[in-house]
Parts: sequence; C-alpha cells; structure tokens
Amino acid sequence: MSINASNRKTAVSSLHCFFAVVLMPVVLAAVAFFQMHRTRTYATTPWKGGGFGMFSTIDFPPARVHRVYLVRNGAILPVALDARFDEAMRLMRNIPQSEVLQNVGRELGAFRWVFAHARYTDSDAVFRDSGGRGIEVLGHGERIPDGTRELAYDAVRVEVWRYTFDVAQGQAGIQLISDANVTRSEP
Amino acid sequence: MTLDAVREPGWKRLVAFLRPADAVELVARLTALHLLMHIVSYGGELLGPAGVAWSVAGIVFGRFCRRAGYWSAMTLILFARVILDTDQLDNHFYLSMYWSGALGLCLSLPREKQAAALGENARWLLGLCMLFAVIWKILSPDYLSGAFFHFFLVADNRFHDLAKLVAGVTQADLDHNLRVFTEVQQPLIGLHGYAVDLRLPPGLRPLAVLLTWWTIVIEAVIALVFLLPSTREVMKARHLLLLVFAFSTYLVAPVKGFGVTLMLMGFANCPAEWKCWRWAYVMAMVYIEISAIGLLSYFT
Repeated sequence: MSINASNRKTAVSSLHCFFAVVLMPVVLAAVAFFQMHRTRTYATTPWKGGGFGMFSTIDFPPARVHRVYLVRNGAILPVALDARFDEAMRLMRNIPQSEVLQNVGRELGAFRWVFAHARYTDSDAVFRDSGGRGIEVLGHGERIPDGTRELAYDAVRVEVWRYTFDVAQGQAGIQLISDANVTRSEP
Repeated sequence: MTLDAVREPGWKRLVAFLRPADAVELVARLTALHLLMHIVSYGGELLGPAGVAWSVAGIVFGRFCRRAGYWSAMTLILFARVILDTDQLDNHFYLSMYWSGALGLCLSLPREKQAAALGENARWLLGLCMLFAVIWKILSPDYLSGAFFHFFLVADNRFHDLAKLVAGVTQADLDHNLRVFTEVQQPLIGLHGYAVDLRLPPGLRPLAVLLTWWTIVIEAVIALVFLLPSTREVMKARHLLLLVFAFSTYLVAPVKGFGVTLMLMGFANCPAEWKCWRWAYVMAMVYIEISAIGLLSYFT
C-alpha cells in the first residue's frame, strides 16, 4: 500500500469516527432548537416533540382544552363532539396553529347537526335556548333520524385554550391561545 | 445466542443474555430490552408491532445487537414514528432514537474503537438533553416562579403521594382541585373569565420551591459535568450526580422510559474498569422499574 493510500485510509477512518461520535448529538441539538422555534411560532406544547421542555411548564397536553361553536346570524352555539373526533381534536390542541384550526373548522363545517323538532321549533330557537344540549352530529351520508330536523348554521368557530395558574393568588384560570372562524361552504 | 440457546431453560437464557462478549454488547442488549418495555410497545399502528418484533429479535438472538445494521434498522423504525407523530411523542422516544442511532454508528467502527465512541455519544447526548431541559426551565414563565411545581403537585397524580406525605395535602383537597380540572373539559361550559381558587395547603409552597430549585440545579450541574472535558474527577462527579438525580427524581416522578435511557447512557459512559459504578447503574434501572409502582403510596 502506498503512503498516500495509507494516509487516505487513516483520514477516512478518522472521519468515520468523528461522525460516529458527533452525528447524533448534532441531530439532538438541531431537533431541540427546531422544537423551540415551533413552540414559539405555533404554540405547540414544550412537553412533546424532542425539545426536552417537559416538567418546565403547566402547558402540558392534558391542560389544553378546545371549544367548538356553530354560528348563525352572529349567534354562537357551543357543541359537544363525540368520540369520532377525539383524535382530530387532540392533534388540534397540540398544534394549534391558525392553518390547523382553519382546516378543522372547514372539515367540521361539512357535518350536519340535528335537533328534536318536538323540543325546538326551528334553528333560531336552538341557538337561542338550547345552550348546545340536545343536538347531535350526523355522520357523512347518514340520514336524518325521524323526529329530528337539520340545524341551519353559517359558520364554525374553533378555539384552543390552555390552563394558567397564578401562584400568588392560588388561582387556576384559562387563556385562549388560538381560534378560527370558518364560513361554511354550501353543501 | 443461537437457536439451541432459545430451547434452554429460562434462567440459562437470562444468564446468557447478561453475559455478552463485552460491555458494548451488554449495553446493546439492555437497550433492546428497554426499547421493548418502554418505547416501541406504545402505539404506532404498523411501526409499533415492527419495533416490537425487531427488539424481540435482538433480545432472543443476542448477537443481532452487535451489528450496526440491526441498530440502523431500529433507528429507521423509530425515526418513521417520529415523522408520523412529531407532536405526540414524549421526549424519551426521541432520546431513545438518538441512542439507537448512536449504537448503529458506533458498531460500524472497528471493534477496538466502539466502546470509547459509544461512551462519547452518551456523554454528549446526556449533557445536551440536560442542557435543553435547563434552558426550557429558565425560559418558561411558569417554572422559576414556582408555579409549575405548585400546580403539578395537586394536578398530576404522579405527585399526589409526595404532596400528601410532605405538604399535608388531603384527599379532599385533591378531589376539590380535580373537580376544577374536569369541569373545564366539559364542552358546553363557557371559558371566558373562568377562574377558580384551588385548595393549596400552606405546606405546598416550601415543597414546590424546594423541588423547583433542586431540579434545575441538579440538571444544570449534570449538564455541565457531562459537557466538560473528561478528567478523572469530572467523570466521578458525572456518575455520582446522575445516580443521585435518578434515585431522587424517579422516586417522585417515575418516568421509566426517560430514566432507563439516561441510566443506559450513564452505564455506557462509565469506564469498563469502574465495575461498582456500572453495577450502580444496573441497580438504578431496577429501582426505576420498581419505583413506577408508586413506592411513596405505601407511606400515605
């Protein structure tokens, strides 16, 4: 083996060693910095995503809540989504950036809601009197059950909130971190 | 381990598992076991079972763990989970992925360089992970004010035993506070202006302050000693502090996945001739597993 070839082999071996030691720590640092950026920019929780921000803030995933409202002529109606929406809502709470909320609002706007017509005369009465109780969401393609009527609404409002805690007062509160209003497209 | 070895009695297989050719192989086998117990078995529709099968293969056929290809494939499985679930996965999943990647890279080196390279990886990964944990605590408005531990001692059931034992928190206090948390989860309750007084006994404040400063100081010192160049004194301080951290922290907050990953790295960073320290790391791993059953609950 010539001296040049031998030197090249040693250099390659040293480079191999260097990368074997350096690569993963560099990746760790890069992901952690990126996660810091995402947390600051998109309000993702510091507890997740490889940034090592767990046990540093009360803004952990179970301390986030969402609200969904139907909107009609300026009136808003809180609604309860069933278990089918749990995963989508969990994702939205973890990544509450504006685009995500807009997409969720758009998807939710494609669903139909029904109310018992023996209980409420029309959609305006539901918005005025129900407080969100007694209305149900239908699956896509599901027919309207007997005894119910479709609820008319114009838009969907989605909100993500996080817990706050005032240590001096010993008071727990809640703070809006992201929201979106999405006009419903014609079905 | 060969196919014949699989047919041997359980205790013989256990002995064979714990008596690999060298320390690197032992770390690799323990990592495969750790991944199976704490990482790949949680979630992941297709990648979860793939990770489980791959780690079982590493445990049963121990020699697999000695191959760079085995760890490269494992890292790919973990990486795919990270890509699919970036914002859902806990940080110890990421740390285990880096560790798995480090094993793959180090095992691709000539045999005589593997242990030292793995030890260096462990040093940097541990130091950086502690450093970022400290940075987050400094940046967080909740942490240095003491609000985080004050809140978590009553909000997170992992801390309830400690709060009852040391701060005099009663079950009635916890039930009251829990009602507050469950109330806001009700989708029809309005949230504008929502505020509730929590029941926080006076003993909670000193405990929260103690935990706040103990945690950030020990993490900062661990970050420092792991990132400093290695001298004999610094190395001893590293292992002593990391073990103190493990034995104190995981009694209160048993996060098995994270704790065992840190102990594996500490073990790998320990020189081969420091046998007592290595045994201490093995004991710490067992301790973290046992503490997860809630040791403090026996005293409340």
